[in-house]
Amino acid sequence: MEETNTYRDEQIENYLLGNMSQVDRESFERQINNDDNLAKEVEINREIINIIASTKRQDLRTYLKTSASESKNINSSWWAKNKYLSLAASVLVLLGLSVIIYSNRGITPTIEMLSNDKPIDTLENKQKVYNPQDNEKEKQENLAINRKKDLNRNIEEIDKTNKNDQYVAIENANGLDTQMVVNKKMTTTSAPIITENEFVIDEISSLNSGNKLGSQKPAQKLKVTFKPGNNPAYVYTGADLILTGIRETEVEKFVNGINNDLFLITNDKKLYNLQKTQSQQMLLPITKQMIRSKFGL
Amino acid sequence: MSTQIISDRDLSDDLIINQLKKGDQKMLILLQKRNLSTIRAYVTRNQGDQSDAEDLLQESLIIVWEKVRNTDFQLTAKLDTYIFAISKNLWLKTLRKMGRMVSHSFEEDHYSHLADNTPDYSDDNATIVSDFMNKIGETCKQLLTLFYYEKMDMEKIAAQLNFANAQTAKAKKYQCKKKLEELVKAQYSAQDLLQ
Repeated sequence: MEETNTYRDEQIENYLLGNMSQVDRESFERQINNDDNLAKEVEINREIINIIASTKRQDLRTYLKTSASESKNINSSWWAKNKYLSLAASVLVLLGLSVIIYSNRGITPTIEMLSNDKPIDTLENKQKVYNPQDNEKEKQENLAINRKKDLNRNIEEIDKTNKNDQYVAIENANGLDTQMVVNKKMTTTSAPIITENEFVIDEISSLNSGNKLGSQKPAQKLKVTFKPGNNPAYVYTGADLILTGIRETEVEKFVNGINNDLFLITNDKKLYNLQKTQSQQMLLPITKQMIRSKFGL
Repeated sequence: MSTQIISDRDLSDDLIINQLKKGDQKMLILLQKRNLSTIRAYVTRNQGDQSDAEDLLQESLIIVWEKVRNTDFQLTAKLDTYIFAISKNLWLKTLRKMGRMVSHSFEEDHYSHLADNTPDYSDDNATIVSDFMNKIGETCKQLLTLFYYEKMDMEKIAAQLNFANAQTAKAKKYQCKKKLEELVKAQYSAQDLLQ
């Protein structure tokens, strides 16, 4: 008798937990319809599962609420204890921001070293070195030689420090030169995935008919127009890229890379290489081989 | 030897989902911190306040916790986008329940399909059910939760709760369920008598 009950209990359990095949499910539902006792048993078991689920949900709510209030308490007590320190920090931040904004005004993005100690000569700095009265041809030649030397020197320096580091390459955005340096950047374990936050999108339209942005099957290829200047570019997108919540970072310039891939330079002086992988759009690290190949070094 | 600092932003969605499936509740805290400002901005713009936003996000995270346990769960957007879609759907339901007007443009959203059929557990009668579960003891509570809610198999439950083997865990589960069943039946009988 007990065995029969256990079997019946298991059947009810499998039915309620969705562990039955379609055929078994339909057959069991017919039994329920014809047997009031079984129907009552199923109802009680359903209630039991609901009670267990509700209790767990309540535990999760308590866990999240406790964490949220602890986090609030830590924040509020820190601010209360450090009122003057906070005020001083705010002033410093504002000062820092105004210096950055002021110093960036009207300057085209140029070479910037992210974490090297030595400053790198910029085009502007070089122009101070050369006498404007010099022969134009000689000046250009010297400029090109020095530029190449600087670039090679920087690559050599990075070579000595860590061969496995990844680098960001930044091109002078005035379009006249191929002046470039390689900046040492923090090492990441894998290539970061490009997100919607890394560019401003002015206009998006699907090139594949039938696909709609935001639908479960996003377009395989989107025409994306970037601000400013309405520079058109084709960006491939994968299933998990949804374009939303754009941060105000603007694309300064597009550069054709090796193998017809596309580089883009943003106003915050980062160079991105857009390439399509199996499922995602990747922001690939720029290697020194790529730079040498692109600029014939 | 190099030291690397990994922030929560470095954790991939896949990694977070795997941890959630394993029952790592810390991931919920991480998602709560990461999404609170977005949900708060959304709710306060749409007839709610900060406390509504916190409650809404907590309900959404509970739904995520349950959804990832379904064998057919597949993430078709970024995890944060998915959480936002669930929160929006839940908030619309809340506004409707309160009889608030919801504008057409507010309802139209190209993310809403991501969270179709969003359940709403905010009406759970938590006090009564917690009382039932507290009466059956901590081990029974854990065992039944792992089996019926987390959908963990008996071997893993036996290992986690230090039972000798899956068979012992199964026998214990049977006893625990019977205890709970008696409490529920007693509650039903009391209700019948009152009616």
